[in-house]
Amino acid sequence: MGSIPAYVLAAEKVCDNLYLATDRISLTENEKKLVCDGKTKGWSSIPLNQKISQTKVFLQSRGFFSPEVVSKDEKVIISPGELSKIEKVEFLNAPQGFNREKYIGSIGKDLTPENLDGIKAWTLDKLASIGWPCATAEGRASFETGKVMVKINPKQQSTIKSLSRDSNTRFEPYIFSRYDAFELGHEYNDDFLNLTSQRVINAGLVSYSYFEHECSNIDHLEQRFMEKEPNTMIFGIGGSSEELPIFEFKWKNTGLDRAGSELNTKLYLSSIEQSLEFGLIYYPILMKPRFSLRPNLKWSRKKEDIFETENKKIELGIRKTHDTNKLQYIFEIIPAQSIETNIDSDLPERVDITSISISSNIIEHYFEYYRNSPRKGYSFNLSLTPYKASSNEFETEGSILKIGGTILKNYSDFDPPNLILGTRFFLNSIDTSDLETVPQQFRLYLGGQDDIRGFGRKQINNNEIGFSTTTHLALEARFTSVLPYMLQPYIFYDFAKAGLRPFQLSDELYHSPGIGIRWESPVGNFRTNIAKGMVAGKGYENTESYNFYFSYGREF
Amino acid sequence: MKYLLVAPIIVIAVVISTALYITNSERIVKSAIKWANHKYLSEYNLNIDDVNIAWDNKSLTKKTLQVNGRDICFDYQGKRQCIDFLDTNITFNLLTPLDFHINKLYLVANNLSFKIPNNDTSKTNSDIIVGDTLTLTKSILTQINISDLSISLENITIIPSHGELIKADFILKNTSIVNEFEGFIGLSQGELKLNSPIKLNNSNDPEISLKPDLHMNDITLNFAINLRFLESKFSLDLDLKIFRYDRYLFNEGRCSGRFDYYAEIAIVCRDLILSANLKKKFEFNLISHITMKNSLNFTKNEDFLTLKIDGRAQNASFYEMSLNGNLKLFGSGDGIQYSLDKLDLLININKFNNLVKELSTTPYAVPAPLNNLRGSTFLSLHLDKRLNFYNIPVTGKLNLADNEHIKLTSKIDINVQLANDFSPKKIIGEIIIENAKIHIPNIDPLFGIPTIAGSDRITRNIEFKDPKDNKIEYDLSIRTTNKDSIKIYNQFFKPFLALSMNADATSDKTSFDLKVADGSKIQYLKRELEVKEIELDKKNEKTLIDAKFEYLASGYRIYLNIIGTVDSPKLLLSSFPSLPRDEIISLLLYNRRSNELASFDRASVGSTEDAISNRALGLFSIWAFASTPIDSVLYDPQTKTYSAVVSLPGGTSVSIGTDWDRLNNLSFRKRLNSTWAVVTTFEPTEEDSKETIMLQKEISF
Repeated sequence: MGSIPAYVLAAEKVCDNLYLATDRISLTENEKKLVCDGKTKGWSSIPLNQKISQTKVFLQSRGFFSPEVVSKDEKVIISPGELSKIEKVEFLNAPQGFNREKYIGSIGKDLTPENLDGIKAWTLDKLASIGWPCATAEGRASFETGKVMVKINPKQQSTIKSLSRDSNTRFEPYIFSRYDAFELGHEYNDDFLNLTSQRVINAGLVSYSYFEHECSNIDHLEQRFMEKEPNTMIFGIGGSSEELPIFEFKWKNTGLDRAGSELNTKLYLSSIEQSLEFGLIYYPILMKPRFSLRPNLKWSRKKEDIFETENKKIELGIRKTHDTNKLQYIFEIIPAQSIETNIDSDLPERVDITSISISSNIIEHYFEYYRNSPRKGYSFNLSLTPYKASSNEFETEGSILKIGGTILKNYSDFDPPNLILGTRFFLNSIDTSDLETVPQQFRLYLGGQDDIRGFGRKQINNNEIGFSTTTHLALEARFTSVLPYMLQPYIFYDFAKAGLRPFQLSDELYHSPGIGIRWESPVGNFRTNIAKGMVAGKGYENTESYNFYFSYGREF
Repeated sequence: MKYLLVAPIIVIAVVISTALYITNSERIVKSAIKWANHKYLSEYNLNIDDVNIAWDNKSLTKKTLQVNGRDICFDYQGKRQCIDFLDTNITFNLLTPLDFHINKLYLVANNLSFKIPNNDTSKTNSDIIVGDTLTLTKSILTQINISDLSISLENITIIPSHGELIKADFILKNTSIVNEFEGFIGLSQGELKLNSPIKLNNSNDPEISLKPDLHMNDITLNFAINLRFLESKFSLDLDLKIFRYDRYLFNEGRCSGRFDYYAEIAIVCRDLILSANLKKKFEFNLISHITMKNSLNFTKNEDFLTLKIDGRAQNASFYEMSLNGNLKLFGSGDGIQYSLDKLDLLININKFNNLVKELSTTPYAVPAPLNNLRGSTFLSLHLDKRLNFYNIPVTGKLNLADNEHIKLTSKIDINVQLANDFSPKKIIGEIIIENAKIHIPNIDPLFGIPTIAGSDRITRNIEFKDPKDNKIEYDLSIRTTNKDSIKIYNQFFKPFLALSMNADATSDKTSFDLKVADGSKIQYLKRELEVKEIELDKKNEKTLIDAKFEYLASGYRIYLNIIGTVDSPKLLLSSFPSLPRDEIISLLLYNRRSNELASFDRASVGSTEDAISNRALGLFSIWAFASTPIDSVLYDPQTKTYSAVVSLPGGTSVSIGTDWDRLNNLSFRKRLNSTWAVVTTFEPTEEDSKETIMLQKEISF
């Protein structure tokens, strides 16, 4: 007779004479109904060996595959044994391109049938994103070694050759092609189809959209829509990192024509900004759905620490977009006429501004796809805005050039990522004869979450006049897997320079190291960081400072 | 004339005198033995010089030969073999030289080795007469009149023409009783090990007694056998002590037979107690009749032995069991074969609940809820040579309808086909269910469906099994007699779900066709869904489903058809009057047409449609969606995850489907009720970016 193991003495009753020697596991009420003598007719007594074998199955579903059973004093005590963990995942017969990202999602997790299903689901999703939407996969694992093997049958590779769209909406089906993040004749990518659906939903023309794909007709897609009423009114109360409270009212009508043209109104009220806006997004050519005219009328009043201004603006935007199988291009020209009213400012009380903004954006699809949880891709923007401003004190003209971009890299291509590296940069320059006559809406400042985080919002402002040239480079590393509960610490270093002449920068370097933490919560992403602002050389803002920021929804 | 008479007499006298002279001269006898050894036994290379030979003249005709020596070696079958010690004393009469008497025989030899020549007796056409063998044995036994015997042969190797080596030990010596010898015989060949004391009595009615202890793999056999060579009859008595197969079965009993030397051999075994040791002991009382021909020929394909077994269950309070079988042995070109001529096994369990009780503490306990069945069952297994020895028909009848909560009446008619090694190879047959009633525990699927069976995907060593690896093939059909033969009781079914079943299961394919009787409905959380038909087809690893449900909503008759594989089912929706799919989903989820829905609810309809299209919903989820009042469905095509909020009585709600935490895409918009939602936005603007959190109410019109 050996000594009684300690776990026997500490066992907790499950039901009847069945005990479980652990406080880490408890059976659910549904599970107990299958092992305990319950109320169900015909189940008045469950044999002991059935209870034991069924409990073992429950333990297996939790990752315990080596349970021990001990009988003592008519009690049956089951010790779950060692918890099996997933140590390694191997893929057999993977097609080319599958291993570009290394799967680590389940490593260290409990080896359960459910997690094995998760690995299989990831495998199929991954295959569907590289052109194999009809692949099958079979997962097996060893509870002794923790190794998982997934045998892949890729079946047939798919190229999207044809596409049909539901005609159940009031719109011409072809107009939905303006949201396509793919091109016909290219490899099937499930991620880009989802991105397309999200664009359609976000545009507000339909309640829902998705794609259907049959393996019997592998190269054909069908796009489905869930119709939506043309009028939408939204009332909102809330706040932002800089404004509290916010009241917002939006009205949108998408029932103007079959091209999906849209009339919208927005009323926005907060302590910093109050605005009223009327806009139209008009698609004049039915068969050119990516071309739009965007007249807009806006009145706004803004009160910042360093200025207070009122603006009345009328503009007519002309936009054309284009998508390849990897990138989206947006070209836009916006002629505008505005009246800026400056309150308690060195600027004249009324400034009339005529401007034309020409801009271009390039966004990689994966940058857009992961916008809510950034991990990879890039986006670049370039804009040139010549303007002419006149007041009763002066008449001036100038042009603003803005070049910027963001590049994200999933370090080592782990999935899910371990480390996200990010770079953000811009170069803004105003070509004007006199900085003091630059209208408030075009002035260039530094400081705050958008550029150098160790300084306060627009703190580097050249005595509120702004700069002729500002440039900024931010480097950030976010560690996505080191903390539990979706908490992700990050470190960053921001650099910025400014100059008083176009494309010329002074010697002073503003730099700002910092640390922060990000939380992907069920209702959005929270970021908080602390950064120290420092100046190398004699700067326009000499004060070294610490800045603490808390933001919600914003991403790198 | 006288000379003619005298001459032969003189010649005879001379011959006799010469013979007498020779036989009386020890030197000449010894020389003659050595000469004969040299002349005729030279191939054995016997070291005769080391053997002491003594010749003693007891009388003119009675002589005594004494041979003794140590390490007497000879060549035999290509090997030098040695007798460690030999001392023998033989008396014989020159007038009757065959009537010799061994006065003494001491023989000690270890490590002798013999090859059995490849003399296949089965290929000889001559009959073996058992009577001759017994008579000869009797004769030898009676003539072995050794007053001083001691034989010790240890570690003898016998090399058979086929099969593994045989190791043998044999010891025999006199007892204190005259004409009685005792000793030991030991044999081992491969897994077979046999040890037995042996006792011989060579009085007028010679007798041999053995108590063998035999072990072979899982078999242990321990018995006592007594063979008596009577004047005109031969008598055999066998007392079986233990016959154990594995850890579960053992026997005991007695066999006896008394028959004329040249008559048919008949042995009767009585009181054979066959016990099945399944923690509880089940006993059967068997009677066996063995008859064997006296003239054996192993080449004629003739039966030479018949074994008839009759058995009845012992001490059975709740069941009756009888066994009746004929086993025959016959010779063939490949040696001795056997065939089961007939085997009938009848099992009549008149009190099933008592069987349940008996088995309840064993590893073979009847599982719940079947352990609550009450009534009787009858099972008959019949094997007949005419039906093919490897094909066993089994018929049965279950009449387990005495418990009001669980019932099963059924007929079974199957054939079990055996492989050459008697392992089941294929099972073919039909099971007819007349009436089945079962209660299923009230498991609420909203709180997780428990895992019923273990996963064979997670094992000690990773194996991707070929489904064709199944060793036992089967071809079974299970049918019901009526459209409501199966009644399933559960909280979801009001009052019960009545089914008929038509199932065909083979090793490659299994198909279930469950037809639901009219009016069978699923009721859950105030919804009612009519189940029309469920068809399952299992081919290799994949289980295909074709299930049809009907749902009434706002005057529309909605048909749900689940097809595809169980792992990844596809839901086809249709209605009468005909409606688009989104309208049908709207009716399913909200009991309203989509134009009556709020914007969020429409997004739920779209989410559901997307999830259905992507087959992201499990089978249960589809069913749950169709039978539960859903508040909202949120589907994330990016991660193929969904969450459905279901209202429960009492105002609470539960989220089913995929884990909320995994829903990436929904993080910017969380619905609070039909029109209010928490929305977070990030707006990059030309001047600076802004992030907001808003409590929004959305109205669409």
